Amino acid sequence: MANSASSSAPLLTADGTPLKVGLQRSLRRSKLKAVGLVFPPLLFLIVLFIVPIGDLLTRSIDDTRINYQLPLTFALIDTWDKKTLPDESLYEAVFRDLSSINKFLIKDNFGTVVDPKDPAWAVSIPRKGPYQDAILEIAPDWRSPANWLPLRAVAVKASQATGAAIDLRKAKIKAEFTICKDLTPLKNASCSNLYRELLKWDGNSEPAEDLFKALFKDLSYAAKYLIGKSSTRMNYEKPGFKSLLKKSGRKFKKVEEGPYKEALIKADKRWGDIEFWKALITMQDPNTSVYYLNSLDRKWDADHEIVMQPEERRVYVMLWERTFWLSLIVTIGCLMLAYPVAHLLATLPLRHSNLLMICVLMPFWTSLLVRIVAWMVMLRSEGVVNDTLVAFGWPDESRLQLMYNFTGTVIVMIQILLPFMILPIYSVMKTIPPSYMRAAQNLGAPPSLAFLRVYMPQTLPGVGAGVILVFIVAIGYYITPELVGGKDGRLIGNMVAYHMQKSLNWGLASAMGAILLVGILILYWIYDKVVGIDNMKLG
Amino acid sequence: MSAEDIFVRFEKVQKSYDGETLVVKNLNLDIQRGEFVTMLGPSGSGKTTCLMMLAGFEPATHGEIFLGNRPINAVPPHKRGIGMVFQNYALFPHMTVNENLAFPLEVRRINKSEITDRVKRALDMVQLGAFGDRRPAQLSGGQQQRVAVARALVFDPDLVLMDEPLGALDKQLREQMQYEIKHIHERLGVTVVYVTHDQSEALTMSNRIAVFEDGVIQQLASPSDLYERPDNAFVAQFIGENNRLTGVVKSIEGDQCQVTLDSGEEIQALKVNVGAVGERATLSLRPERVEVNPESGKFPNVFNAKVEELIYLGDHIRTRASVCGNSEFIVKIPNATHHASLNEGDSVMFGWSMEDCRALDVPLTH
Repeated sequence: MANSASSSAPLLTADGTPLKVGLQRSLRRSKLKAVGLVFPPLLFLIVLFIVPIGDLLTRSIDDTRINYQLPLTFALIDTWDKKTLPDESLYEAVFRDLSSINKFLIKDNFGTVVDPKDPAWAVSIPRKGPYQDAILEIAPDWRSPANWLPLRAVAVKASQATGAAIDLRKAKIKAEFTICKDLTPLKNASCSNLYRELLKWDGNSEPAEDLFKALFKDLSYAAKYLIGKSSTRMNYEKPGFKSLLKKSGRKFKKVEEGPYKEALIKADKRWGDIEFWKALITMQDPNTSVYYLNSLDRKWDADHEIVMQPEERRVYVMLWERTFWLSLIVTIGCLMLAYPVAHLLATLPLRHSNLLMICVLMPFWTSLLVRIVAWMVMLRSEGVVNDTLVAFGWPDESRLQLMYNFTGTVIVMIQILLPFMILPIYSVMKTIPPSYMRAAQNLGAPPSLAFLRVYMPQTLPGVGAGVILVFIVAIGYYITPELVGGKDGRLIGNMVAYHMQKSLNWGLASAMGAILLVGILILYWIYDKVVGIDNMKLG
Repeated sequence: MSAEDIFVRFEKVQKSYDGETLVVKNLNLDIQRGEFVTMLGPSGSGKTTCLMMLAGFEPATHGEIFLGNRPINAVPPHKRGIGMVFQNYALFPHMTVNENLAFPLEVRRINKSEITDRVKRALDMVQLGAFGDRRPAQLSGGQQQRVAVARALVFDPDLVLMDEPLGALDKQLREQMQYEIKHIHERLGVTVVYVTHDQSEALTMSNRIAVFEDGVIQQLASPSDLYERPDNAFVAQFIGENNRLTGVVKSIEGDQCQVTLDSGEEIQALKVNVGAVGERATLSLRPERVEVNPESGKFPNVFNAKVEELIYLGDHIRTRASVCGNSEFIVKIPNATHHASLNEGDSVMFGWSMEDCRALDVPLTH
């Protein structure tokens, strides 16, 4: 067979190289060009889009900080029966975790499993010194200069920086952070004492008390900083934890020795409340689902069961539902308004359709805030709409409440998102020649049936694109509800902003963002199954 | 033609889009049942407008259109029961071929099994039986065209309109489709009104052709009459090739007349459409009716000619010559066994008969 023979022997180009190699070579240039063109936007996308989203997703499950804070407690907490108050050993663990810096000195306890039997936990470093012996008892490694040298190298390198005064300062601060990062799991603690002392030290001689003092001071500062951060997180789990930890920090200084149970409860009676202990259990896992549960009004209880939040703390499920319904209403409203407008745009003579197009696009060219404020003028109870109604005999005492509620948000969002619906539908309608409608009528279909069976199915790609676009924008909308939403019109987007900016509960904000993202992806998937993404046309 | 046989009638129909100019001026046209009538004319002559009025997509500004003796001006398009093949077929892109064909039957609420039956029959008629499940976009231009024809016929309309249906096809396919449409018409006996600007299409298929120009039917006649006996200078010019000589009528005797050309020669011509003696006239002469070096006495009109250009076209040789002051005078010399062989620059005699030279009106210059 001539055919099979030619396919088994590789084809060669005129100069004898295999055809495939030749083809690849000839395409290489254009491929390189294409990659070169795509690379900058790809980089942009990765740096400004994918990396932040990835960071957001990790933040929403990250709970390692609590494990840095309470390593000994979490190592022991599984021995507790969870029904009565814990015994002495757990109280001692909490005391050590919160009041000592031993956890930073014991090797490899960066938030993971530690050995509670390690005698180093029991060593207490005198508050006023001398520090060297106590620290060496906990971590003998620090006796050797080799352990200090890498830190010194950081300090020396920073001290040799050249440039303007501000650059020198920056280099110094950066080095202080770097040293702390090496010693603790914290990114933003500053080890300024160590920096200073390491520079004084020659690097050969036996490390002296000054260095150990600096180490103690810096680690104490880091411990304080860690308590501040982690107590905020603990407060999400059980309100009251933050003040409990703050108070404990002060009171624990007076506690010299056990029994710790009594001493702690004396320092703050909340240590005698079993609920606080139960809350600790839920924070044990370094990967937490608590933010996701919280954003759905749920939490872990001590038995590792998911339960609803107490009644007075439930808010998010209601907000999710409201956001979903509002987006749905806005989408349907936009569709109903946009379809006839798009049809008019697509069928009017060019002269008129241009004018109409400008009217559609005008809002795009106007600042969002200006538009919203204009709506506020329209909708408020002494606004244009109500005044007009009253002028036509509407009873003055029952003016419509059109703003600072759900209605207001819906009205304004429909207006703002309308172009997103009109434009894709219009661009699809533009491509449908009028002969289809004529053909349908000619074949015997009355105009309404011709529209339903012939015209509308052909506009579906544009409708799909518009619906997806409007729904996705609406579900994460923030500014309009903020300004005209009032109490009833606030959406999930506003809560994300609130937790990012006001309460600084980034974990919760990230979790809500992630839920939004997943929700949109699911909708997109459903859309693909029902309508088909290939059918979507934006123009 | 009895009133019984008249199926479509345009009565004093006028159409204006802007209220200032008439696109169709006082149209009167009777179409018999089972006839294939073509509306032929250059673009902008009003032929498509007539078709649209008949289909019901454009209202007549004045006058009345009758379909089977029933005035249909007030009948909406979907109740007229007229099949139509559109210029770009207008096959519904979101439906398969079967669904496209079933559509007119479904809206008529015909039961399912009969629909399947009739769709299959219609597809078989255009030899596309195997393509029922395809989308229009998966068909070639010629196949789409056939589907469009099948769809216009599937609900057994008495009248089918075709609006330049072959315009988008290449030449070969177009000719093939012309025969197919012609045969379908002959087989089904359906009345067809066909719009085109392609005269060979019109000549191939039609029983009668209405030549449109400037909103007026210039001539309504069978293809042979239209070619052989054009009524006026426009038709003579528009249908087929035509040598045109202009002059003044010198005398009229019965159906003959003598015309003095602007260059001085006198020509014997058939009086068809001329005014009184002394008025200007156009003489129309088909290129294939001219004989080169005729026997003396055979023709009353014999003139000296100088060969300007020869174009070899295979079956004939197209010869451009200067005759009677007209340097664009074309003669077709058939490539027969003993045909005259000419060279550029030769001086020869051209002759033609009185009957072949028709004296017509002077067209208005646009």
